[in-house]
Amino acid sequence: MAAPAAGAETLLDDLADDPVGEVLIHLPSQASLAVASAVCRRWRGICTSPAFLRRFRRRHPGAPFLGLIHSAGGVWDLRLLRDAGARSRPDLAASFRAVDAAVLALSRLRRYQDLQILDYRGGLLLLKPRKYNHLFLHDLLTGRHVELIWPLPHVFSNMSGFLLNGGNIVFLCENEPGNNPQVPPRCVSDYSCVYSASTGEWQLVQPPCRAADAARYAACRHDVAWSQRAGEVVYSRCSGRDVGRCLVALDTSTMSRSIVTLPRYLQRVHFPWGKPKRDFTLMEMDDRGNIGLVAADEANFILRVWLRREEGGAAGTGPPGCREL
Amino acid sequence: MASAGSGDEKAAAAAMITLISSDNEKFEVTEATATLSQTIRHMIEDGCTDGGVPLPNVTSKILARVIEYCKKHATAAAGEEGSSSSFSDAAFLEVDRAFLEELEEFDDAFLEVDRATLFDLILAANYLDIKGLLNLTCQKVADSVKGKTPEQIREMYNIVNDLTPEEEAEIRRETQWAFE
Repeated sequence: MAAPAAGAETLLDDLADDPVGEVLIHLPSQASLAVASAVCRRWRGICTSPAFLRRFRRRHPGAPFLGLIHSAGGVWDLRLLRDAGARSRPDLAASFRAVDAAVLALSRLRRYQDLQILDYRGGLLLLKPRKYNHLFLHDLLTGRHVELIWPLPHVFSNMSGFLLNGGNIVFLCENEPGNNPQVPPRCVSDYSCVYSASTGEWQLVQPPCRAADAARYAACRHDVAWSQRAGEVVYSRCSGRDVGRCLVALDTSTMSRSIVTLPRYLQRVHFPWGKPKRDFTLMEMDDRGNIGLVAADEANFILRVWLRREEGGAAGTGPPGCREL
Repeated sequence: MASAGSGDEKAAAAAMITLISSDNEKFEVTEATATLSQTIRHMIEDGCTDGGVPLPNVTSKILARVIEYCKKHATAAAGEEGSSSSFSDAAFLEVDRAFLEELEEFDDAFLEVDRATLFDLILAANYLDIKGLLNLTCQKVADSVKGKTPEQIREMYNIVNDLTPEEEAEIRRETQWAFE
């Protein structure tokens, strides 16, 4: 950032991205931010960067949450859980009209009795009927509805799909895909199916695990309990007899895996005849990629929280760990 | 001020800092005023302010305005610290409100500048890391943008539209609700 030449007037365009972002963060609503994103390419880049959006949402916590989309027996409904007076707010009227239209459009999908919401991000819903390999992308704000072609011959009984930045999608397959649907696939969760929004193509990839974690990954990859997305990273809870429980992180921006060491409290693998299971869930993520874990101990009714802090960066020396709050 | 704490407290409180603008004009300010800028605060903590702090990105005209802002708000900060101990609440609140109103009036008058100066102030506030000033100036620009169409915003701030018609149509479709 150089000082403007003497005599020349400083323009808004002379400001670096940081101060321009600082201006845009002061906009009063999502609507004015959306308008600002249509001004020029630079503004669009600033307005749509994940870090900026997270900051913006923190400043305007009430605005983007309207309610929950709810489906019962194929009938879709928008349930307002919080702020029941929101319907009468004039500034939200336009958003509500859009969401109502979207809910109406969803009701037309009644033939799928078991439509599941796989993921939700930035107004996009990723929907899939449980028994069919049909895939729908639904835009809540515009009501645009797209059916995506699913490329693999299998019906996956249990799979997790996530929306990524820029409309891309990643699926974690819990079975190894094969050409013959009659042959039960081996249970190997190595594969990921990646959909690129720009080309409209699917790609089957086998993301590598970083060398330091490779042995542990090989021991635990067979048993995946659940997967959750935080930002651009998909975390899967895996376990193996020798290594205990751990968290496998799939970084979708680089398509590589690493292992997050869990707190000791959560590492132990429980057997059916043992004590009640302690499971945990992922909390929020901040701009620097830290995640939080919450575990509730059923026997003692204790809520525990851990934070993970990535130190140093990608090819770090030691495995990133978690620390109790 | 933490680093100066080891020495003579009084000397530290009265310490003056010299700021040097890009056109080589020198400004003497108290440390309390200067430390509203996090950038300068860090310099003071590192003990590298002897012989003046050169600010090659800030002209004397803008620096004078920035210092004017810092002086006003530094007394505000000092007032808050000093008054929290004594006084009955009611009387204190009354004084406080009057002072806050005065500060608000000052801020409003402070923002009565042309656009180029406003952007220069944003640049300076960003460079010097003065949170209050950055918020104040950015809010002013954001207020002028809100409620306008993209065309009006471009015209107002001489921004070139480098989006292709297809991209623009796509954005409009995506965010139609915002344009209603």
